Amino acid sequence: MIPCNLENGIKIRSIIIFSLLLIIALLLAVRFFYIQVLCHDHYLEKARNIYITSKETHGKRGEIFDCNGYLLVGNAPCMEISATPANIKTPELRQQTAMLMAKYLDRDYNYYYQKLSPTILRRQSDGKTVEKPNNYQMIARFAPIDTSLKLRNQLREIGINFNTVSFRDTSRRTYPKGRLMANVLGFTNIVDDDSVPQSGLEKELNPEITQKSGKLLFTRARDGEKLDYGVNFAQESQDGKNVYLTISEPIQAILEEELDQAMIDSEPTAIYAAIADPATGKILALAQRPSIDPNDRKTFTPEAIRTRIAEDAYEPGSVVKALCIGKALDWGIVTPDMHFDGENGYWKEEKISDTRKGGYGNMDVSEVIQHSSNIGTGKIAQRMGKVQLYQALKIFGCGEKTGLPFPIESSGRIRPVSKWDRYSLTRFSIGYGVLWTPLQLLRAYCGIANGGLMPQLRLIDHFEDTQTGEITTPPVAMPRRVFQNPATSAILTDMMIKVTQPGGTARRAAIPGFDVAGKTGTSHKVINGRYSYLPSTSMASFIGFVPAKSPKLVMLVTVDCPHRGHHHGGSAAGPVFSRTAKRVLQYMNVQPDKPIPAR
Amino acid sequence: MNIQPGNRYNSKRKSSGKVKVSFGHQISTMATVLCFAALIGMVMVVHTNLNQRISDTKKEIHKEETDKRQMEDELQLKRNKIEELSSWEHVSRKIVEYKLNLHPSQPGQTSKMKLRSGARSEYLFASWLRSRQKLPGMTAKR
Repeated sequence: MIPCNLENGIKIRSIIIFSLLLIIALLLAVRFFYIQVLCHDHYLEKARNIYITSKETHGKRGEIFDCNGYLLVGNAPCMEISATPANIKTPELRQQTAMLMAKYLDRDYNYYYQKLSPTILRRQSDGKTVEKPNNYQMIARFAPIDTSLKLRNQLREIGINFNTVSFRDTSRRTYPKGRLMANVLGFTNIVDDDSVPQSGLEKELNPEITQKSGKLLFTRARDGEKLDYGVNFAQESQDGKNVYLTISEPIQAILEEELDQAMIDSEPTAIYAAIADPATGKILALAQRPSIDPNDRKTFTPEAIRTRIAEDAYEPGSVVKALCIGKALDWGIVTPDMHFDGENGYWKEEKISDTRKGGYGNMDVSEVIQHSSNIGTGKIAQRMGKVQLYQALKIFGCGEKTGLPFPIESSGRIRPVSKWDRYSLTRFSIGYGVLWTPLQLLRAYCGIANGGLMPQLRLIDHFEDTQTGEITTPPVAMPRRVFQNPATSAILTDMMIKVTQPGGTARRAAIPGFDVAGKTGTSHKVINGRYSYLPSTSMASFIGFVPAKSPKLVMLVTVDCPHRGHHHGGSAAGPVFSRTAKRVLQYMNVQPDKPIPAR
Repeated sequence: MNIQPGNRYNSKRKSSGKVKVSFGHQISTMATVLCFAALIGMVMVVHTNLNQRISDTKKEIHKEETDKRQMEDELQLKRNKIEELSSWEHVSRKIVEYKLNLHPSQPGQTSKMKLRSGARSEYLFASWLRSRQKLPGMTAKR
């Protein structure tokens, strides 16, 4: 039997222990309530910050190809390496890290050792310089992938993880063809980790080829692995569209090689050339010198960086004569058998002369073109009158942009008729007093070569969406009829063939086995307000199409200020045309349309 | 059985004695408990194993995706290299470097022929070959 006082003692101790346990349980319950209910949002946010990762995904910038699918501008995958030097705890680790970086990357040990300094001096707003932890340093922006992966593995072995040195997939723009078409393609610069286009097609087509970033939001495990449950949000990145140009890389390469040779032969300030298909208006090649190499920024000089062939407008000289005479024939103002007095080489009333002393005598229309007679052309222009001459130049696109995708394109210039003076009629018709761009001239001659239908010049063939495969073709305007009479084109072509035959101004533009129809132009530049007649200040052009009867290509060559050799269109630009066109015709498998004379 | 309520501290209360349970009943009860425990254990082990395999498979998938991305990057780099090596600037440099003495063909010296598949195209190709063999300088029939 338990004594009464002992029984009470057990009871009291039981009650005390039970009460203590109850109090502890209550305290725990209150604490749980506080943590789980009242502070729920706070701790949930804290946990999310640790276990939910946000990752930006980057698409690829669209690439640029030629018409055959050869890559002109592409993306080269590489890695961006950055560091948080404040996380490197010991000097020995800093040395080891710098040594490994020097081993695999392209700078020396001292450079990386400096970069990995744990503190950095920063100037505050009050002007004081303080030492702060160095939390971010860019180590290498475009490191090759294979060496980056080796470096990453080696760093992991010495205990450097992604919190200290991080590796991010990125890409840089690459131009595998070097200088080929560099001015037209343009280039990009890196601004705040983005490729920002600076010139050329890269800039003009940026809305189509630029990529869109995406975002990934997911719950991750301790080792960084993505978990299926929890937060899972994905906004896919979008690659930019690929662009296919009308340019043919082999033809472009031929043209550029010949321009390089012309730079040696003539030592001009600049030279530019373009080749187009007259039937479709597709640009097959477009080149200029001086040029840049987008892979080597040292070649970026102010003279070389411009797209002269689109930006520059100039007085083209005699190449305009064929356009004016062609329209005069079309309107019936002149007929092929009409004759014009050569005024013995100097037309006193209009104060213009022909290049040959004593003139060319009595010329028919074809001889006016063949000899490039200023007097003959001026007389034909007088028959046309101001209004019709103006209309003739306008119908061939003078003063009208071609609409090609260049950030800057000059529209050329022609004064309205009301502002013409006494001599405008005879000057404008021979290519002085009006400004044309090379592309406008090319377009105009496509109109002659294409039987009187002037096509819209095109540089973009189509866009391709890399993710959906959708092909988008830019709209093409209907060709403009420049000759109402279908026979005009053939008549004018026959006259222009004589330009490249004996007696013509461009014998050196002839191609064995082919009839070449074309026109030379030699104009003088205005220096200090006056026309300079020095040979080294002329613009020498030749524009033609071949084979004359069924043209496969129209080509313009302009030599700006040749300092060596000949300075006339036929002798400076003609040989470039001949050599280039001969090679291009062989590449295009165009058979000669007449027997090739034996050597 | 003593069903009379009483003071449990009554010394006069006699113990009713132990309830006798048969050995077999005990065994069956233990076996049932063990079975259930084993079942639960098995389910837990299978579940854990499956989760582990899922986790391992995901890691492999992630690794394969990483490898695939790396291969795509390598392919891209190789393609860029091919384009660079096939550029005329590079080829012409090599022609000069190796003194290959190549020169452009004369007009009409070369010709190209595009064949579609089929017996007719084989006939055409054979005719073309024969015509080339008769007169070496002759161009192919247009």
